Amino acid sequence: MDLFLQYLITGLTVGSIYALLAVGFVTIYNVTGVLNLAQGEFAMIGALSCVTLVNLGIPIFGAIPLAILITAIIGLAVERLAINPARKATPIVLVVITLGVSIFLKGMGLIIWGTSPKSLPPLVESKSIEFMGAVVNSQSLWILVVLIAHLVVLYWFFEKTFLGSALRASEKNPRAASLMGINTSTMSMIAFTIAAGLGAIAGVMIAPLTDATYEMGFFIGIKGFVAMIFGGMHSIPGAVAGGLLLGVIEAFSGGYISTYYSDALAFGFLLLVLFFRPQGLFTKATGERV
Amino acid sequence: MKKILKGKLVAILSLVFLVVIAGCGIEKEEETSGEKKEGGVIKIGVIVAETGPASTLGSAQAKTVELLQKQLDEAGPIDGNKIQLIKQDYETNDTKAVVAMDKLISEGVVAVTGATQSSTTMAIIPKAIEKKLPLFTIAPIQSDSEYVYSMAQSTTVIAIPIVEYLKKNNIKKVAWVNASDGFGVTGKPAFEALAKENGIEIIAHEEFDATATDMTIQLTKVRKSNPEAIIVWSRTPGAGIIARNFKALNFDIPMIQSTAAANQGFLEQVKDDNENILVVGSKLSVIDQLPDSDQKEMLKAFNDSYVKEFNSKPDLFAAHLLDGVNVVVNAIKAGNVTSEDIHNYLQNDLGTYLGATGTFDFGVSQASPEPDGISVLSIENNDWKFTE
Repeated sequence: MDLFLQYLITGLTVGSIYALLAVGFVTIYNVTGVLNLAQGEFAMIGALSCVTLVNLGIPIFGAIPLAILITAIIGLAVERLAINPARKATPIVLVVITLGVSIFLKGMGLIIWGTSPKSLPPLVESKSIEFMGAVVNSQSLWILVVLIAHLVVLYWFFEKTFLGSALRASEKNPRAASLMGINTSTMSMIAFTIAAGLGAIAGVMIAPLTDATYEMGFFIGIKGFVAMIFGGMHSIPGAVAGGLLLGVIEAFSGGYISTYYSDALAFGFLLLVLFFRPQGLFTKATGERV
Repeated sequence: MKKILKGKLVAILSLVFLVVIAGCGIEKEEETSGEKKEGGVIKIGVIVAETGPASTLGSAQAKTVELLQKQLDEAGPIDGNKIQLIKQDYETNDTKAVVAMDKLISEGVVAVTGATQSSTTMAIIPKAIEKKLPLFTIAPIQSDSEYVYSMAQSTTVIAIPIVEYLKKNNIKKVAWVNASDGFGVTGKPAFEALAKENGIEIIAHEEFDATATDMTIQLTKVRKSNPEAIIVWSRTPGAGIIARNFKALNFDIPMIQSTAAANQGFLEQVKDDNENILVVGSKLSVIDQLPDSDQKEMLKAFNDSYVKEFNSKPDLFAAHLLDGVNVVVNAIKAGNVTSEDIHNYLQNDLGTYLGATGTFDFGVSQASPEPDGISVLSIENNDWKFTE
């Protein structure tokens, strides 16, 4: 029983990391219709710049907002310099551009921070907690808190504010949105800035658990992307649920079947989802909502 | 009109052709004249990754080359021959390393030391064998060629101090956890054979992805079989993450990690929470704690001159390079100035040579130095501690 609980908790911990990444993916996709393959690199930049700021002597509570700000500015620059000039191109071209951006950012990360892993102190220094025979890392509780805050704030932002509605409109129907006086180009810029900030939050939250390296973005980016597909591409709550589900599948398949195959099993499950529920696990297949 | 164009094209092509041929001729001439001029110079080639991702290992090696050249220049010519180290940066690109090897051969080097990575070394070995050029490898590789001398410990030799540590602490049952990448999977077969001879059993084995973010599952699974120690074979950051998970799960047994964790990055990862964590590392990291010996003096001399020159500490990878070049310099001092003579000298007359990596005895094995240069280190006050 305590093994089951340990696997479940580990799965939720890892899954919440994927979920944080997936939220950033969905945000950009919902506004621009572009899959941003550089989302993992935003997390990397957030984590590593936070490490640098902490090493400069800035307390962690000041370093985190600064790191998020720096990453958001980089996100804005990426959109203005790489995405916006090609905004008339097809989505697939834009996706390839984000792939290029991802490789570029990773290269810059290597030059600036080197290859050795850097660790970041957790928000609150505390020992891990014993819970019914299973061990819970206190940082993973913070990640869950942040995840819930994401859900609430993003729901409020996209559903209840004018800017949020404008952002959603520019993906649903860019032409109609333009006719309504929404500048879709500005919306795309805002979406990238927000997503980069979200990526940075993900980075600084997970770095105390996993340490930060210049190449951390690729792996968590892929997993975040899978979580997004589980959730049906468009839905932020769906992506969060997808991330948690992916983490739990990995943990249980590793725990009860074999750790050699946990990735294979998780991706096998992804294929099943794509075959039988391509619209995602957590959305109703109702077609376009009008 | 077309005819004229065609004629022009032929004329241009033949002109290009002529220029190429002429170019080749000029190049050849330069080479021969170059050789004549530098009669009193013996060249040793070095191929390292001074730039690119492998530069974390390669830059210390490149610095060691500079240090060695400076020391050789200060010592003056040997029997009238000046020794010149020719350093080639292959930019963490195997193809460039092969080109660099060709260049070194055409410059007439007597031996080559390199390369920083295993895959690169495998790519340049055939060239060395073809030219019968002694090659001193500084990355862990497997080769049976008589011209390949390994300056890095083989996996089997790295496993020796671990088995000794287990025997000393009367540990019979161990769990093995490794990363599922190229480095991670090499450890177990070598360790298993040696452990069996010494009555030590691997009672659980788990793997994790080299880029995974949590290894709690693997550790929880091995805990079920009640091991007396856990051995981990992984590079950082995986090595540090599993150490942290190990502490979070409150294990009260030792965790022993491979040489891949014996670096500053790992120390930082397990900062302030490193009790019971042991790493197989170079004695170079704990010079001041060593008992007095020739080895201590030699390591100290290397360490001090390196620190004085570059204001940073040399690592095991720098030590491999130092040994690779010094073995050749020793052979030259004994009066051997051609590849063939150096090779014969190392095969027959060198005996044992005390290097910074460990003691070499090519009569016994060319595949690895002896395990006397490494030891199981513990961590105290966030620095390495010598345990023997």
